[in-house]
Amino acid sequence: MKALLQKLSGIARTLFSPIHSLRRSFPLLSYIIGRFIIMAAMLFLLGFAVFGLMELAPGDIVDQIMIQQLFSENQSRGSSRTNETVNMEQYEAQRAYLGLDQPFYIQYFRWINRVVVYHDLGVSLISRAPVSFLIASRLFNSLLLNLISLVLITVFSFILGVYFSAKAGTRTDLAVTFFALVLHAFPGILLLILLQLFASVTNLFPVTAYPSFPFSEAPGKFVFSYAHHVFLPLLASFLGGIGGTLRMIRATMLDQLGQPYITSLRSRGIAEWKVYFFHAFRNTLNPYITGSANLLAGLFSGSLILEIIFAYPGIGRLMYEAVLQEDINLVLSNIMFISFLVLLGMVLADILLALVDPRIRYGKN
Amino acid sequence: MNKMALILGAVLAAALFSCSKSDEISIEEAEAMAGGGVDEMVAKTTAKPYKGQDFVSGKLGGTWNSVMIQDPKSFNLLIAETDSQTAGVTDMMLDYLVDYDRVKREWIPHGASFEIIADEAADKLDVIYTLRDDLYWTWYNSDRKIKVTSDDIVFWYNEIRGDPECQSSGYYQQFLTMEDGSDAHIEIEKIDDRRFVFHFPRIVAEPLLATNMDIAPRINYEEAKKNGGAQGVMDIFSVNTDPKNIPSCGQWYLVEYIPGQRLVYKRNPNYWEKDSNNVSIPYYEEEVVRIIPDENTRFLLFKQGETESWGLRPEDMDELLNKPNPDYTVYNNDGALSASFWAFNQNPVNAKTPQYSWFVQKEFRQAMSSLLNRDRIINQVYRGLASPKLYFFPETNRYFDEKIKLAFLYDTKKAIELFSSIGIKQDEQGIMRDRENRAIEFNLTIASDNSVTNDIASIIADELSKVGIKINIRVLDFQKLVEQLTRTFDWESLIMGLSGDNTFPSQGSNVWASDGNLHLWNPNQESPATEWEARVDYLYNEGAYTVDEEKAKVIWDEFQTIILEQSPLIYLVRPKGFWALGNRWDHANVYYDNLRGAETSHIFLKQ
Repeated sequence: MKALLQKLSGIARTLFSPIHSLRRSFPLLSYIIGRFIIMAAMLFLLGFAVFGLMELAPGDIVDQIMIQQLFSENQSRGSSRTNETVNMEQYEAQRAYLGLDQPFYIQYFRWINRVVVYHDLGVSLISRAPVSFLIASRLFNSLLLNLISLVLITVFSFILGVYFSAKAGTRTDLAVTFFALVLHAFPGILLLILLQLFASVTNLFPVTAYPSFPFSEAPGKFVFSYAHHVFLPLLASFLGGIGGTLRMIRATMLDQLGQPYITSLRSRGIAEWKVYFFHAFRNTLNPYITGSANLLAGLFSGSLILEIIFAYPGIGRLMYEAVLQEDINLVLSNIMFISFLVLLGMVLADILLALVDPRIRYGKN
Repeated sequence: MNKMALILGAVLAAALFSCSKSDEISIEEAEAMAGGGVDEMVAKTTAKPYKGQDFVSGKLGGTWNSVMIQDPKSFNLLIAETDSQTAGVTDMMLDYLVDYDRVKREWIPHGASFEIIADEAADKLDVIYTLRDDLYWTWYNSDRKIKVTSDDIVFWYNEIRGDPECQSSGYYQQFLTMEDGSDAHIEIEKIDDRRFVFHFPRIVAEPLLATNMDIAPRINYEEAKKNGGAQGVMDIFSVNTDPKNIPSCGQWYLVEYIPGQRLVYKRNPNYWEKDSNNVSIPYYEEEVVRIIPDENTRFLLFKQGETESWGLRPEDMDELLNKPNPDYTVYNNDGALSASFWAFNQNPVNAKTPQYSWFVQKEFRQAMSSLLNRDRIINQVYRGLASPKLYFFPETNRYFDEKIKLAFLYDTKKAIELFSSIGIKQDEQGIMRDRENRAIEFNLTIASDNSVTNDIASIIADELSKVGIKINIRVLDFQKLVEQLTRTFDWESLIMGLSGDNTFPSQGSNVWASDGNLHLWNPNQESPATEWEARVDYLYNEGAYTVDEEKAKVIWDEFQTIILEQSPLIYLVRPKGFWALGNRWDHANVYYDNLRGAETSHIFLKQ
């Protein structure tokens, strides 16, 4: 028995020795590889959970089709006898064809097989359009909107957070902290509706967030029109995100400014702006970088409401409609894709942390 | 600090005042307020029903801007059968065989003329269609032009609709129930390039209803079927297709689709329908349809003049009707032809519940109808802009008869009498109890996506509480509600609406026939559960096969009378329709009524 255990541990050592040597030689690389492996595992579990949840929801896409046929108005010229054409056997056949009569885990493994082995996201169950086409047609719009939001929030949060940390305790600081708290707590959907009403009443801005003509029609005009259209939704997104980030940066700055090393720097006569920007400020980057991936995730999920209210053609709306129609292929691909982006953001944030903070060196304590 | 205290005090005082009871109003006051000013409101709108007036000649040009709720799923005609949004898109590029004139209550030629030949001796019937000579498949910006022929119709009928693998909703329409109960197929036969005939195995009352269909392009679908079978057919013309490759025989070409953003149509100059100056209609050159999911955003777009028309909701009335110098005209109609209804579950799977024992008694349902305060619903929910639905068939139905009217209108005394006749009486506390001393209490399920239904349910609950009946309102996701209706059958009572308006009496076989899967109160019966349902089945079947209008009227009169008497579904109210159209358009050819909706087929820009 002892010999067997020794043999097994020997095999394990042999198997894992490349990993150990990789970790020793390239600690950051092995860390990144590890994070990607964890990311793949998380995506797998997430997909499993999504399939399971969709299974728990009442009905499926075939029921949706049936409802459409039963209850849709389609008799304006007396050409259709909608109510007479609904046949349950036909629906069962359709369910079997789509594989929806199988347990959800079988459906899930089939989906994974198709994606991993054949690199095919499949087709939307209801429209039969390629999922990759549906996602690609909206992805750029979502990325553009959310990245602009992220950049604006970041820039203004840093400027205001650092500035007001220097004014801590003053009336202006009190007012800004109060408004940051209000913005942080203000319901995003209400802000969007209020801004849309503002646009409608004043006629200064459009009530939708996207130009009514495509980029290809007039590229120059489109850029200006896009900026005009997207201003209010961006403002809502910016106001919704800046409160929390600004408060975090201000608090971190104040925390750093109270540290003994800052007192030490000041006692050595180093200029105050240098203390702020070369020392205290650098240390605020860590919590921001860690939080920015979450912020991006929040922006993606938060932009769904924006996309619906302001009719912005982003990926959130696509997913929302897919969930309502229980188009599992589309839902799963969408969720996996967005989750992949967010997880990737988190991994990149970790790598960035290692790069910006000399104290963090993976594998070297 | 003192200032702060003062401000806080003022805010608190304002909050307290806002909570005071003196601001509340009674139900009666609310009713009076809601119902008031109806005539004034209607007076600010225009009534212009279409009665077959001639259209004046218009001029070409302009862009019609409209909206749709969500993206089309596909441009494929089979998928369009299962999705109304998709059908709305594909219909623009198609034409159809015949039309039904809802004013004159008769069929009229459209893409084809027709002739019905009945052989009474053999009990067989033929419908011969002759396609127009000027119907063509054409492509945008192309000289390609292919004549629409009988082969298009025969192919679609036999190879697409008639192939069960294609899962077309039209498949079961191709069969008729014979007198011996067996099913027989309605055959189609090509006569020549323009003529084809449907052979009916027995005489039916509405042969055109069963055979009227969209004209689909055989050229694309035949090739798809040859290469990929039924799956190939379903896979063509998905949304990643270049829409310019889709042929049109209708009024429009689809020339652009940007997912989540918009669709653009261009006028088809080859379309056969022309005005008196031989100009093809429609007059406007382009239609841009933006995809706007939110209803309020769609409304704001109309107010900003970015869309041409808007169907008014009750909450829009004040704003749109009281706007000074509006740049639109609001039209009104007499009220929807169909209405939502209140139904009671009579499915024997619930036989052990007390509710079942109440619901299966017609007196109970009649009493419920007598407790339905339709006027209160009209005043409070629809601000007086609705009317009760008292007839089973709408005015567009040939067998509509003013004399056949619902007898159980709002009358609490009558309701109590009806309850009493089945042993349901109020106890000393005023609670209504049945013979077994069980308090009358049941659930009323409504769909979660409709605030109007919620208001109606609250009124029903309040009215019933006045006679000691407790109603528990259950708000349910529509999908879950449908699951209860079609699978679990564990609902008690519900409010919902069905599509269609019974313009043709034989429509709705899966609702009115006892074996129908949408015979809501007790579906899929192997044999009729009650005598009256057996009689309705018989009349329904007889009516569908009776051509002689006098004989048919006797049948359909009895059919309507039984349904109104038995009240398996208690119809609610018919909301009036209001529709606004921008004034940059010439309104000479614009009409709006409850039979055809908005008639804008000949609309053109003002000179």
